[in-house]
Amino acid sequence: MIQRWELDDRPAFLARLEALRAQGVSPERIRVRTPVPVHEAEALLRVRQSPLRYFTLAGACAGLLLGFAFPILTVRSWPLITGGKPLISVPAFIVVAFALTILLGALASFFGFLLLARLPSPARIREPEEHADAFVIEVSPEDAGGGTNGGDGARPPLAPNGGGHA
Amino acid sequence: MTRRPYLAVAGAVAALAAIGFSAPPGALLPALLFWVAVGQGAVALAAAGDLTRARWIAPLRGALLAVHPLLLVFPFAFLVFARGLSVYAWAQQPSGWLSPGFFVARNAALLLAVWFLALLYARSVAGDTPRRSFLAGLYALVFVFSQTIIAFDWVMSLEYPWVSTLFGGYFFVEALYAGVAVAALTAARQTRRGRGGDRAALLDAATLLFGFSLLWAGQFFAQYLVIWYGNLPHEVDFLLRRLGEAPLRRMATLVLAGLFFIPFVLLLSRSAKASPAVVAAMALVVLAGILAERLLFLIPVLALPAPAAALAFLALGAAFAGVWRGSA
Amino acid sequence: MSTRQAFGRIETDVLAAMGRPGLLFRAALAICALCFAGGLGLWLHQMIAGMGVAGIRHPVGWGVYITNFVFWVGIAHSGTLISAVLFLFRARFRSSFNRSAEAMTVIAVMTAGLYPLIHLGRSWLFYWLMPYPNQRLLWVNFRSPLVWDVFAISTYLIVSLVFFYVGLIPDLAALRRRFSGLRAGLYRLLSLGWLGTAAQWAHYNQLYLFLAALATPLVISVHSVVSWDFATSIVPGWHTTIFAPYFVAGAIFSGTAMVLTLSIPMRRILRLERHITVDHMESLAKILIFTSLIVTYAYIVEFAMAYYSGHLFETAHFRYRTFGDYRFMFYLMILGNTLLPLTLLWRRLRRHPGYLLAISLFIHVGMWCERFVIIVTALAREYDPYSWGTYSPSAVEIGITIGSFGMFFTLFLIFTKLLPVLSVTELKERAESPADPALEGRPGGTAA
Repeated sequence: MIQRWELDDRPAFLARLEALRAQGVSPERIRVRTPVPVHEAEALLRVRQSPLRYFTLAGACAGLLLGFAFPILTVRSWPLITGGKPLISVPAFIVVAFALTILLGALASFFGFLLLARLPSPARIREPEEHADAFVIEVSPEDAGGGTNGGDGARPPLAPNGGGHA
Repeated sequence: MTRRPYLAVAGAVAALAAIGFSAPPGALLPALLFWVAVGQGAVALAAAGDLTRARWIAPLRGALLAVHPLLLVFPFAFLVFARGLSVYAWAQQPSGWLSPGFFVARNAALLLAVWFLALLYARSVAGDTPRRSFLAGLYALVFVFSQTIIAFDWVMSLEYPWVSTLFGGYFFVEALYAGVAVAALTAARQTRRGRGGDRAALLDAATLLFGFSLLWAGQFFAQYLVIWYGNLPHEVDFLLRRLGEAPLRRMATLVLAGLFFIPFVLLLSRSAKASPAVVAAMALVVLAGILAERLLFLIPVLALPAPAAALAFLALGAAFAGVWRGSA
Repeated sequence: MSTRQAFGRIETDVLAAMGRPGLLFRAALAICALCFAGGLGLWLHQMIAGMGVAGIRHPVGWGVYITNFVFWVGIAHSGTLISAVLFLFRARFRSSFNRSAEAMTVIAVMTAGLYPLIHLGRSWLFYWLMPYPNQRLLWVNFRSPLVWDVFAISTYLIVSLVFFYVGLIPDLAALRRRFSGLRAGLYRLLSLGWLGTAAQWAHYNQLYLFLAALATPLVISVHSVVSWDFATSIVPGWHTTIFAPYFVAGAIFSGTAMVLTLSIPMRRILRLERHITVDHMESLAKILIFTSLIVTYAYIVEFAMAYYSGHLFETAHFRYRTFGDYRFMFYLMILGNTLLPLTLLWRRLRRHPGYLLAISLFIHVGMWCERFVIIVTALAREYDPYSWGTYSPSAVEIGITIGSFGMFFTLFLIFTKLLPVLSVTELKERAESPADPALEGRPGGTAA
């Protein structure tokens, strides 16, 4: 039986969350939905620091390499001197590499985000959960598989009266 | 306001006068170019913080503004330097703008005006008067004007008739960059001394240093690219003499590394930005880079008397330390 | 008022803006769509009849099309400044503008991106500008600023689109329950099934920070690349190192003016005065003052350096700009970009929405004239007097210019009805907490 609270604002939400953690409820059993990001909740629920920055770094490095490799390889494939500039003109290629660094860094970050946040989620697109601006806490029972935070499994059934409303 | 800062100022002026009168002409120029950027830039950063209503800069503002007495050294030191205007080729054939009298008068007046506005601004911050924003804006305007004129008059005219319209902007961005380095040093020093709440200021100063390294690189590249691409003989000489041949080419590489590559890469991670040691080191690297770059501008066109120049640099450095350390 | 009520009110206000379009909206949309369609028709005419219908000849080979290109790319920059740069600087007033500013950026870049195609003449051969493997083993010339443009503008369009979309995800998730039918389905799809779990917010905040950090260099680099289209030549008046920061400052200047042009009527018509206050608009006005001063500085330095250097061609060019064939546009440029923005130093004027709207319109005129003056005067008189000439835009060029404004406003009007014009989530954050987290209470107990 899932216990559920819908709180009206951040202080009440955090108070309830702290009370639950103080009672010894483990973070794996707690699932929250908030309309705005709540940083303190991340600490309370032991959410690991997002590894998104590795995606960004990888994308940016790929863009940097590609931005130099592509012009250099193509100019060596057909060496055409234009404007009296050297074939491998580094200042010119820096511009191209800069643009590609940012482009691939941004795209890698975006797709990394989709991967990490497990979006898009077809189940949730068909049947979105609506909370009407409430800060929601759901605690699944100890013996169940447990809802994970950010996880997306089928919704376990709600108890008829849920937990209390604060 | 204690009188100690002005003692440091007087000492510096005396030392520079001694060096300037005894050494060959141009000895004071490198030191002046560097410290004028650092001094004016530090106060300019405080003014920029006031104009944008930035909150993060509050713990650092005192130290940044404490530098303002140093600005009084510059008009006097410039007058001593102005004895030796023979380093400028145009001194033999003066024209309207580039005539010795006008040159000395406008530069000395501007330097004095910058000092005076910095004084008024620092006083208004100390007393928290309502004219603070207005004075910050006024200082910022005169700062930009002064740095632009310094760039065009002191350095660009050495290479007359070479012209780069970005040169003035380049100098005042570098001066702000130097100011950010001073802010970062201040933040690192305060954090190390264990004053709570300065961690945030350290993080923000380090982020700004990181951002300015990118901004500086953009400015440098903008100037370099246009001159390189156009390849016009009367323009390209300037670059060729500094980037084309062995000893200066290595110095140029060091400048690029110190002002862009090293701070950019090493300040990328958040933990680096939060570490006082790393941030202080990066700030020093940036300042060294600015000094190296000013030398890079001067060496091909000026016969620099090395010991005298070094002494002048140290004299001003001592004065700076005197006014800054007391309040950091 | 409790937090939930505050949240509800924000949503209601934004939703009211997305309600059934009234007569005014329909009329405006019709006019703009008509201009857009007219512009497209003229473009078609140009593709069939040839580039001769445009006014560009020898020696002025770049005219109104390139002016418009630079103009629209410039306008786009302010959106990214407000979204990304002000985010990094933690300026709270940004939340009132950033959604519509981001939309403005995306639409402006799309509008700008049409112009290289229009200017090609044989627009169907545009793909030759892209590097792709082909039977003739040809590759693009990466040393050309025009190819740098391809990369910079494409990057800017894609990154701006991503940034815009990412910001919309939580907003659409919040609003989707208020709609039904096709619109609800669209919002459900676009919000990707966003839940708002702690982990998702953690990833989201990192993404937003990195996108902002990546978009910030774009604000400077994209318009620098556009300025290098001119600066890498050796034409007097174009070949000058200050172009990059000068163009970037001008871009932010005209873009901020466009944000004001869009948001002042929007706030009045859609009754959003509660969320876009006079204080917020004053902050934008300060950005106008700052960038106007930089642009003025650039004007002064350019003139000063031309006379300082004593180069015959430089001085001749600047004399031509001030006293030559296009002097009236030059004077308009000084009026709109230098003189009128100085009046914003008076606080009462800065805080008057009507005055800000009027100034923003003058700035558009001034900045368009500036681009025109830079491009055309430099080409009209280069080095050799034998090849001096003049240029005047043809009816087709003027029609396509009007068409581009039509396109911009049509798409923006559609945006205001289709998507939330304010960043709902950020406004909620702004409403519920002061900046200092230490002030958030930790009591047990219910909401106030």
